[in-house]
Amino acid sequence: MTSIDSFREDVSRFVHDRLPGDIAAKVATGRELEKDDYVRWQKILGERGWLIGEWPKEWGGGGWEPERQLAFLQETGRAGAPMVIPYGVKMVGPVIQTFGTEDQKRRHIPGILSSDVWWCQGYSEPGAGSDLASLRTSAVREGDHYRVNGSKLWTTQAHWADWMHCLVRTDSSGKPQQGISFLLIDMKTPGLTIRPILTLDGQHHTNETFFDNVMVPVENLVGTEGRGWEIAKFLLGNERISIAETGAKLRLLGTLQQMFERVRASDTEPGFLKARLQAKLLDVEMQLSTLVALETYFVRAWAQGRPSGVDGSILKIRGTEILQAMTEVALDLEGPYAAVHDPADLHDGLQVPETAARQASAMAHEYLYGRCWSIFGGANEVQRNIIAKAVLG
Amino acid sequence: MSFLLDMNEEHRLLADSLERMGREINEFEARRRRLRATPADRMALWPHLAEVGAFGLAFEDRRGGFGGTTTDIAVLVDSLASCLPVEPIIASLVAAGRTLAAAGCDRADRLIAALIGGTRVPVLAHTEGFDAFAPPHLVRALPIADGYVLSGMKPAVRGADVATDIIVSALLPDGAVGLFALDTASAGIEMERTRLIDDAGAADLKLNDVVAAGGDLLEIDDAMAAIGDAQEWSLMALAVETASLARAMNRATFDYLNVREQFGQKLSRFQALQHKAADMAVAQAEAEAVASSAVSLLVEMPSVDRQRHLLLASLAADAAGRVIGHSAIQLHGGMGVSDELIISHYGRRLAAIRTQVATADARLARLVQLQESEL
Ligand SMILES: Cc1cc2nc3c(=O)[nH]c(=O)nc-3n(C[C@H](O)[C@H](O)[C@H](O)COP(=O)(O)OP(=O)(O)OC[C@H]3O[C@@H](n4cnc5c(N)ncnc54)[C@H](O)[C@@H]3O)c2cc1C
Repeated sequence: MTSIDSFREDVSRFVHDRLPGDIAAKVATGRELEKDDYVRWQKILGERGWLIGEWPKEWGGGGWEPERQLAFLQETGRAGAPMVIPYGVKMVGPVIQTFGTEDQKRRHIPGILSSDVWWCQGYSEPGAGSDLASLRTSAVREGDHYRVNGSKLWTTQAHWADWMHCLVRTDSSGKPQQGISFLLIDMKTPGLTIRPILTLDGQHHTNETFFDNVMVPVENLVGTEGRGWEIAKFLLGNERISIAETGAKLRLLGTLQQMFERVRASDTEPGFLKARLQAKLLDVEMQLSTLVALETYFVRAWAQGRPSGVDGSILKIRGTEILQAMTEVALDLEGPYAAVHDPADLHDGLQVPETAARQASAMAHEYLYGRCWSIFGGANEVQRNIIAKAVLG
Repeated sequence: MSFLLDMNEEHRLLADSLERMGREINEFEARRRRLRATPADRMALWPHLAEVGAFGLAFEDRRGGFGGTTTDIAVLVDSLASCLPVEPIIASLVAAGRTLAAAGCDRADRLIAALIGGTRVPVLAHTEGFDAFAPPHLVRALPIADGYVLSGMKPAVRGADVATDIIVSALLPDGAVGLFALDTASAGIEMERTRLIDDAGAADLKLNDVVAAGGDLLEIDDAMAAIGDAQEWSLMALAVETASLARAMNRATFDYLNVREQFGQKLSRFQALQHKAADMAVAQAEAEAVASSAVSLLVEMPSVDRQRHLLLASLAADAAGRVIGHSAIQLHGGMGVSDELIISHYGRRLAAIRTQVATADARLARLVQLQESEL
């Protein structure tokens, strides 16, 4: 057994032993997790030293090479652990470590590592989605403060967050990318308000955030004025290993296989229908195993010096589109329950018994929320533009 | 109306008033508020529909209506589709309505009259598993002195949450199938209510030794044939609805691409999106074509060919609806997945349509079965 294989076993056993039973049950039944669930799990990972495995050793991390990072993501996802919420440990943490002042590190890193301070990401705006560089939320220097005005759209978990890492415009004279700065904003600052936005799955994940003369101390600027774009690119570049999210997909495949077994066991459903469902299931299994192979291949190649180039875009496109295909098969496997979707089911207490309708709600949730994946994190059309530009010049 | 429906002057007048009603009563925010309330109000349109006489459109003169053709149903469904009714129009008027119209008995006559008048809402409860075309085996009816006792379960019956009556299929001891009309208030009927992906309601219908009077068993020669007919008419109506939604989603998406700017230009300037829009236009044309053929073939074709062609048409409509539903959401970016815009609501209705009557796999399985039985 290689050391990676035994690491995989350790991780999987750790999740099995240490993931609190109520969280495991929520994940297993497709219920929505609350903030406290994520915090509890991140604290458990933190104690084990696995919250920041990918951080370099000099920052106190595990210094994991990409292959180990991937193994960790896959095993935790597959075993049903909640994902580590990226806005703190995966996004702003490395940014502060790389670009921040000693003071910023002292102030913010402990809260990120303990998961006691929750972060959100305020980049997109009503007028700036795919074209992020056109963002207009302005920050005007006034003495020791920036006066921030404007709005952000799709600020996921802003309603849970204590702080936001935010891209603001400090200069509109030159190229759009040049006038962007990276600010850390306390969500309790007067003038900052949020408005919940429900998504098509009927859940409240995301928000609109308004800034009405929000005064942000200048010491909350990361790097220098105008470096925001470079910092954002650095941060988004860190996503290439987690982007395909194969762990959670492998778990979903397992769920689909169990659902199929129940259909197969029926002695009243027509044989052709069973064969058809089986073939559909095998088709997504083929696609997913290809994705796993692709991800493994890239990670090994990167370790040997292959430039990651458009590999992240390839993984983003395939990962999201395979997820969407899987969730459509999930609905196919629901048969008479395929249209059932009650968003409230995902918030029921664990004492509420499992029924076919509840499971169907969870699967319909996967299908609906699945539509978001090809839009956020760089929409798939934009990823295709990136690939096309790279291969066609 | 951009696809071929053979409409007369009355149709046009009714279509106008239905469209106006839809815009007013189902104004987007008002509808959204009603559906998010506890309990959700899923019948707001119903009294208004009854008032303009819309329900009479589903029945022939001799059954007390003033319509009953496929065109009549298509006009009704098409006029309302883009305002996204969650009321059980197809489950009640078309599915239950067709089975009732096939019956020659007092019970059916009275229910039809009450349905047209808007006072009773019967829905059809037949499907028990994936195979919606199979006879019932879970719900069984045993004869007693002056009636029957029914027991068993029908999963996720669309519209059962608001129904006053259930037209339920049951296996009789001699292996035949009977259709019973049961008041949902009858002792022994238990409903486990749930919501569907398009915001409509449904319920798992449990029959715990429900006593039915002899007159509740509808007098129908061949119940499975009547159910088959109800399913065909429902598939036709759903194909029409798909075409209407395709049109509405495309219009909204093309408008959006011509307004939304990124990278200093309209989204409609990006060739990748132009090609997607072109594919959506192709899919819309196909959806309209199969809807219009479903409307006519249901009257013109002999029954064996009819079911086959209708199933093919419904699968084609689903495929077009899938392309348009998913692309329209995608091309709207974040706005497409927001509950605050109608686009995602259209997309959810299309997802529901793909499962209504039977899932695509079950329709295909039925086609295979039809083909095998010919060999
Ligand atoms: C559920 C959800 C959560 C999110 N969470 C966050 C968050 O926490 N923080 C944050 O900052 N942002 C967040 N986002 C925003 C997300 O990053 C944007 O939605 C995304 O960048 C797309 O921008 P847009 O929605 O404005 O779509 P647009 O950019 O308007 O795009 C609309 C359509 O046009 C296409 N398109 C755009 N440009 C081109 C082009 N040049 N060529 C071809 N096609 C093009 C797109 O692919 C898309 O299909 C979230 C979004 C969603 C849906």
